[in-house]
Amino acid sequence: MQVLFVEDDPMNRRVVKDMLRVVGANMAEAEDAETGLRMIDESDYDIVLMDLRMPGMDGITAIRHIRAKAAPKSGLPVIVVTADTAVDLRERCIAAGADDVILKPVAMGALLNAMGRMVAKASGDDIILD
Amino acid sequence: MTRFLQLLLIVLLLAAAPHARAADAFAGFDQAIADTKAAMMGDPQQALAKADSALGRAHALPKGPRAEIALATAEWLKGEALIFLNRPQEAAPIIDSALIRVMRHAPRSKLHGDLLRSRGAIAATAGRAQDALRDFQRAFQQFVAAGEARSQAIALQDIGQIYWDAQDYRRVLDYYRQASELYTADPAFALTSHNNLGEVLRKLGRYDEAAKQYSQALSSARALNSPLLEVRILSNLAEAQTDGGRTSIAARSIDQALALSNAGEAAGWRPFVLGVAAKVAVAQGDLHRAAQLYEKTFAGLDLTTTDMPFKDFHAKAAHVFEALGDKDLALAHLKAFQRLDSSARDLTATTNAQLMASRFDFANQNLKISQLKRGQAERDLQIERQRTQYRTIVFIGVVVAGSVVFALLLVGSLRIRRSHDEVRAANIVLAETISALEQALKAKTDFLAMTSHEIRTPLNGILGMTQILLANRALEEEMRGQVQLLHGAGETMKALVDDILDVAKMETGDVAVAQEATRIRPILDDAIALWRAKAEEKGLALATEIGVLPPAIRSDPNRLRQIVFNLLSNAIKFTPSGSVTLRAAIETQDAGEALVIAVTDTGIGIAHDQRDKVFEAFHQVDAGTTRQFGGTGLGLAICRNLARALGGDIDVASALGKGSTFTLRVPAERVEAPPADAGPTERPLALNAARLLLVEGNAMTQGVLRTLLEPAVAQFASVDDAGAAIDALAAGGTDHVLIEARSAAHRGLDALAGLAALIDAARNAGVPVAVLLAPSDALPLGDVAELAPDQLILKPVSGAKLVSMLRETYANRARSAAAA
Repeated sequence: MQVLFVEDDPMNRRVVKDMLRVVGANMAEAEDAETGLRMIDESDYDIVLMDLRMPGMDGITAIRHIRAKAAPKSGLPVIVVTADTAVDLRERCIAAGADDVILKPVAMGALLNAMGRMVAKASGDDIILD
Repeated sequence: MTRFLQLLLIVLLLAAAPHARAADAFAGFDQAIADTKAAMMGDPQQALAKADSALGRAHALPKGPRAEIALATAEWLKGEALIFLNRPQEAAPIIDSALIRVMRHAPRSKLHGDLLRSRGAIAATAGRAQDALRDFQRAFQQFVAAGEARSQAIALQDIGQIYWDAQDYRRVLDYYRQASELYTADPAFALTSHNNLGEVLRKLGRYDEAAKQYSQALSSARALNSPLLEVRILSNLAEAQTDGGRTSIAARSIDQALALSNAGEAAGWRPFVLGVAAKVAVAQGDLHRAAQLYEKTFAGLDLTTTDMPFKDFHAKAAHVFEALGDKDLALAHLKAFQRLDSSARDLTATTNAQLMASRFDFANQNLKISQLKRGQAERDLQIERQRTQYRTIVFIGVVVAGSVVFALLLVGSLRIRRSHDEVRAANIVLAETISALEQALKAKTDFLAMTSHEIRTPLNGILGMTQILLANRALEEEMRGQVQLLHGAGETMKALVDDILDVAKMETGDVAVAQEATRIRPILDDAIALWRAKAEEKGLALATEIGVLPPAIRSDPNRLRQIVFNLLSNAIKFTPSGSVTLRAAIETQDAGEALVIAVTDTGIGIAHDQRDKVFEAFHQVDAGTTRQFGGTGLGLAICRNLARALGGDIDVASALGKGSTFTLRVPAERVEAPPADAGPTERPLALNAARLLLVEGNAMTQGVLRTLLEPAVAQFASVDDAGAAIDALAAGGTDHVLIEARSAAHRGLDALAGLAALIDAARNAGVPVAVLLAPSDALPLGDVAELAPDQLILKPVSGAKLVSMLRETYANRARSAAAA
């Protein structure tokens, strides 16, 4: 599985990368939203993980850009990974087109669970469990 | 302080219109209320009896919202009478009960504000400045909502008074100014207002402005034809004039006061007038006259037991007698001064500490610190220049007492309409006040939210890596223990950040609580299930005594759950041996039914003087507690905030070394139970009627299977290993188990033994088990087959196929049900 993590903090990228390696998923990294959007155009990913507060374009805007792309890229599953705890945060992310929100510090189980749900949603009943 | 508040309350109370028009059934009640109000000032004991009688009448009224409001009004007056009689602890529960009624039946009314003011007065009496401030601010908001300008002005005076105790006179001036701009229609109130402004301006050294305010107060006093008020204000004016260096005018003022206090109602205040006259004499350089006046001031008084109002007189008298060579008398006065001064400083210090905690205004804090430092230096240099608030407080109390006499005469006629312009101007000031308060709180919350974000980022590094390390099965035991400890510390830190943010959010706005049909029993059962293992680990007995509960009440299930979890967690944490008991019952109170949940432990207990403090943020009984017992010290603060948001409260009863009982009381209005989620008790005949339990250790696969299966079943739950699955089976509520074979290892059993244990448990519970197995798994297919699970599903398998295979179980069952 190919995952893209758009996140400016190298430590956070490293943490999630190692978590994903535990379940055998590969993670590509983008340190800002502009780079992330370009990488999405250039390669195919199964899931995008998106930080919110980044220098330059913020995560919410980046998600809107993804949703404005041509299909099938517009339908990429996007999970927000953030340390922001505003009361209405979840609603704002979902309104912008995010599929789920995971809070930092990231609970490994919650992240992988959310990713599993994205994968199953994307492939439907045809998914092969092996 | 207390007297001042009480008296102000009464001004407010007397001018209040009756809450209900006198319809037949309510006529007797209204009369009882009027009687109570009339008695309040002169004879609080009698007022208490009358309030009780009003309460009795209110109970006899036909049930309904109107009767509830009548009950709340009677309770308010009873609480007020108790506050007057200096029995605030007895008043507290009565005021709380009235608040619950009013929040239900007349929120944002004047009575709501009045009750918040009473609660604030109780808090202020108990030295809880922070709570008092919050209540007064809320009272103010209720009065704004109710459009009660006079009450708004009084609430602003209350707030100013709290800052007075902290000696933060600039803020006091702000609040008093706003109060006087907001409302001047009532002469008695105008008098209080001008006098208060004079007092605070004098504190700030603005003597000429102070004298101007006193002069205005003086004309009001004369208009009210009250020699008592006139004497008090004259002597105050004389002090301001003396302080401002206008000794000859001061001498004229105090001479008038002396003449008026020779006889009549003002005679009781003569000692104070004499004290001020002595001060004027000192300023004029006539020490002998001053000494004579002081002798008269203190005639018949024991210098070792004088009250706070005499404090400044003692200081100056010591100076005078020393200069005249009477060392013994000078020393006696100095001792009296020191005695009173140290109690005054204690009050200032505690009030200040609490106010600091309740706002987030760095600039002002710095200002206050420098004020305090300056104050200390002044104390050291020139003891007689000391000022305290107490004389003023008593003074204000008396001024208001006098004004109340007048207010009594004016009841009913004082509700003067104000022009639209005045109202508009007042509203602008109010909007500014509220927005200033809100901004201060918001600045605090924003700061905490930012800090929380910044702390979460490094925590993500710590907890991320510990989770990755712990997920590695090859990690050796000793190192696993070390990483586990690191992980636990990180989790504690995360909980702390979460709790701090919670508390801040609760302070900023009202806590959002749901009002929905809430089943109590499952909340209690869940809490017990969660904490049982921990209790057993410590060797504690965990008992329950649950009475007959209604199927559901109107409340917020998540908040209730949070409170019960927290109380149990605390009880277990602070109990080294013995037992923890959870009790729940429905109690019938005046205000209706209440849900009472009590958690009793045999733990370390709480000292009497610490009982209220445990509910304060960051409070554990002593500093060592945090180290010994862990936790953030915020749990009870959160619980109390939540309980109050639910319309109830939490109290504690405790004996040091014997244990504690924390009791939650929340209103329990019965409602229809929500559709039962206990589910069918009979065995379901189709997959979409079944409650499925998934056992899957890989979180990602768990997510995949959840998405696949959730739409196909009635209810979906998942656990990480077979041990947790066996516990879930024992708790009931499971119709079907799907286990991924690799997830069966648990509690030292390998996957095969674990699987065998789970299949056994499921068979005993009559629940079918489907095993999902990959040929690549280390488990031999033959061995698994020998355990005879109800279904063996081999990977790879498509999602659609998996669902259809699970359905087969029900096809068989439905066939046999049909055959039978």
